[in-house]
Amino acid sequence: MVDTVDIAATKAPAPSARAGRNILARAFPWIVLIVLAALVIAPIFSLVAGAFSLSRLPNEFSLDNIGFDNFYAVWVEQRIDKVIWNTAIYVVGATIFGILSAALLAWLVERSDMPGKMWIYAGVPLGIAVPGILHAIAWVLLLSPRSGFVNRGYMEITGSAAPLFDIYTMGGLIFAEGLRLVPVAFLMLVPLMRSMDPSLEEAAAASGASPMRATRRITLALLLPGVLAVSIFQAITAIENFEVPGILGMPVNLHVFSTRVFNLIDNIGTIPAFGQANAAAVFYLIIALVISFFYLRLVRHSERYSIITGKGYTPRQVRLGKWRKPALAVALLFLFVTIVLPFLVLLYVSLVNYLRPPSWEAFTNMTTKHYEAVFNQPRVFRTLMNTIYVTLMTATTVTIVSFVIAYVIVRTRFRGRYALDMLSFLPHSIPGIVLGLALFWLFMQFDKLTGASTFGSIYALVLGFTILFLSYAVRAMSVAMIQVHPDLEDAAKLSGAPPWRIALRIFGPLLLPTLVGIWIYVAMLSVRFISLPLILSQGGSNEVLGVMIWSLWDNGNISSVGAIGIMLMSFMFVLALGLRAFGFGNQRGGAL
Amino acid sequence: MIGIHDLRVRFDSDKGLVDAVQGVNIDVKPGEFYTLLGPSGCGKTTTLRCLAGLETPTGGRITIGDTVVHDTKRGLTIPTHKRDIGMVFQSYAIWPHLTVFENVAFPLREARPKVPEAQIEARVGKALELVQLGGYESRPAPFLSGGQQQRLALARAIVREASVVLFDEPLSNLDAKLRAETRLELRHLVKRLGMTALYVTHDQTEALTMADRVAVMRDGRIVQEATPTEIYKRPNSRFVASFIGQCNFADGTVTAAARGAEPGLIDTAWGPVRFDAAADAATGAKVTIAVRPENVRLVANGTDGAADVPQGEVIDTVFLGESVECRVRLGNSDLVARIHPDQPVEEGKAIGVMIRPKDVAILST
Repeated sequence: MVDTVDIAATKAPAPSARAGRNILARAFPWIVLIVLAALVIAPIFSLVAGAFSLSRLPNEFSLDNIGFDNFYAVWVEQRIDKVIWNTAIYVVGATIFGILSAALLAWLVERSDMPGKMWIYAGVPLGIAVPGILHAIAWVLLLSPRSGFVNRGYMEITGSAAPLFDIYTMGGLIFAEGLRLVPVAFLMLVPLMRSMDPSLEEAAAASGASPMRATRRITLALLLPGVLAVSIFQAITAIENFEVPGILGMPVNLHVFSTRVFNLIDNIGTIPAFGQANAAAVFYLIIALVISFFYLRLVRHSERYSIITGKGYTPRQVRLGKWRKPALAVALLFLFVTIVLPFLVLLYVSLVNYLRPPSWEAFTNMTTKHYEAVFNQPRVFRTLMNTIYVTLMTATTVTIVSFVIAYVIVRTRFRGRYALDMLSFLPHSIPGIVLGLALFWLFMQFDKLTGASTFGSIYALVLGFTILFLSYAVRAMSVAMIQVHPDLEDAAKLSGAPPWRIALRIFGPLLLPTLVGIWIYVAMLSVRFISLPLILSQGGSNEVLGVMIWSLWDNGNISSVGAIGIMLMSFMFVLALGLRAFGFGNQRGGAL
Repeated sequence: MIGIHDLRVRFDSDKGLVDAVQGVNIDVKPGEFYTLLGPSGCGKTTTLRCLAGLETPTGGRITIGDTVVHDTKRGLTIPTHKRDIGMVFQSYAIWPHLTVFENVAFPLREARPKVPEAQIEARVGKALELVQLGGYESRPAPFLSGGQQQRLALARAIVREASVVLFDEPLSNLDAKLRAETRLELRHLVKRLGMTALYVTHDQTEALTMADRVAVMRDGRIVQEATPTEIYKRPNSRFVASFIGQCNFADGTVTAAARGAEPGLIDTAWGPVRFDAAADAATGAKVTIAVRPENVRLVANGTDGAADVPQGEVIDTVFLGESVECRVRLGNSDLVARIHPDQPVEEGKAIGVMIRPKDVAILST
């Protein structure tokens, strides 16, 4: 076939053009890696540099004025060790409470014969739609020691001088944060419970183990690593959370890490201690990184990329007998307390003409004046537009970027794909407050050097959110891509389809539910996340709804909080229902 | 039709550099059914994927028909979708979001210049008829059984009427009975359509029953290439002999070379064994011989010509249904004979062991 070479040469593209395209194809994964590394490492670097800065303001940073003073101040004067201790109690307490509740619900839904299971299964994840700040505010309205509706009612009925339960305590913090952890923990535990092969328990029974021993030695032993992984994952979420401790702990000087860092730069009456905030944030970040490291070690070989096979065994269901109805009552109570109650409380305060405990008189004097007042403020409209803009931008950016990263990790033989995998997980362990602070420093330096005004712009928020939510999106995307067999793409190639047609006709349609799911979930996260925008917010130009609710609450404008909160929650419920419609978190196995 | 010249593939894997293919040469004639046979990891699938353009070789030249599709020296690679090929995947790779009809129509819809809709319908219909899937057009593809999915994958591979069809272990996911039926159907279909086929498998029965020519691969190299009969009867190495069917081996020294009709003689642990001129060996050479179990005949004493036959002792018998496997002690070693179940043998009894000179293969290594 030597004589045919000339024909072939004319058919093939010119070698130089080929080589050019080849270099681009080779360089592409490296570009992805470098950009991601820059996105993750640059803010952390500026955070650490800022921790050594002794200048009064971030934009006065100079290498002549650095030292360890901030670390000393934070450790000795600010007694950060106390904050560590508080944080530990809060995180451990909330995680245990949250995981136990979630495990009970997951067990009832998956392994018992409780009636109405489908409703509980569909209802629990909807809790994601209640933003943490509104969740915490609702509990304050119900359980603040003097004016909380429940406590007031209790004191009136019993004549007691002491409240029933004070939410401004460590116990209150653990309770509120624990409840908030349940929806995601539930979604993670359900597949675990489902994937338990009943034949393993039956084999234990056949080997002579009593039901109790079979449960302990087989069921619990098999579930333990998975439950531990979910617990640590949730602990990272709790340690990262700002909204709940910010509303419930900060007013009474009950500080955990996130609120302490925030407090150092945003404390009425004192000068912001920027360097010290950074030093505290460095401690905070180290603790979060250590926990994440343990999490990664734990799941390295198992859960992280486990594919839900959807194997068709129906696990043996435990008969609850006379406990069927009480079990359902507990599950319904949970739904009521986490989803319905916050909504009702906020609806109530947004409709009564002035804030007072529920009474017949209060109900007969309902008014929509707060909604009118809210809508008549130009600030609200601008904030709403900002929120929508940030949400759309973030969701779209994260979806596209995570698609590219996951593609390189899953589908190429790129040498740096493990580094890419690690780097994309890292942001999960960076608390929102810390990243906010880090970006604050980064933008300050950047603006000082270039004269631009990135700080205070809406893109600052988009960038911060993109970094924060990337790890979740990359993980979800990788799992979905792994489930699309590479042969499906190769078969299209062999059918004569060029790469872009494959993306359009094969890869796109097969991944569509995942793309939409990630988009919606990231949109929800960016609506409800307030710690990062709280630090990066600079006046009206990039204020978002969460930040506005925070400042309205701070100013005691509770009726407006109620009105805006109701709008925000309605919007979130719509997104959550959209998420369900795309079968996300609804573990389908099989073909895809 | 297919020309592969000095193909080399080196992977940069987790375990360091791996030479998956190390200088493979293949020349498949038009209309030939060519099979690559070997254990997993021998480089057969990599070779096939290079031909399809799904893998980029680190060295060598590949031609399909009159077109050079890859030449490392000239830095030339034609992307997969521009190569004139069809392929059936081991996983079938049926697109779950498309119907049966749309799965098969896909290659035609991607063809440039565009194929008119009426023609697409006709050709898809014909392809589905050929694989006996007529009437399933509107069915969503995941609702087919394993065997039906396999045939759907085949229909998709042939609908383009490409000059070359590639098969990557297409039958390995079928159950044994269906596999046996499909083997012959598939070969007949390929022959009827006059396509050139490159078939990759680790199953020796598939290779022997379907192929015009078989190449056995090991560690990235072709160790023997021949017709199925030739490769079965005259394996050139211990590896090939034991990979394709069962075999008895013995080391020995040639005491007399074969001359014309006069058989040669080898001294082995079984005693002296005669071989014919088809096997080439010089006097004094150290060799390994291979004898298939079904070519070892056991003759009871006193029957025809059993006089000068070496005597062995039956150690063990295993009833297999269509045959009986006898382990026989002969000289200082054992060998296995496969005999008809009706032939009476008894454990512990002496028996004559007959090996015909033409059934002795002399291995090069």
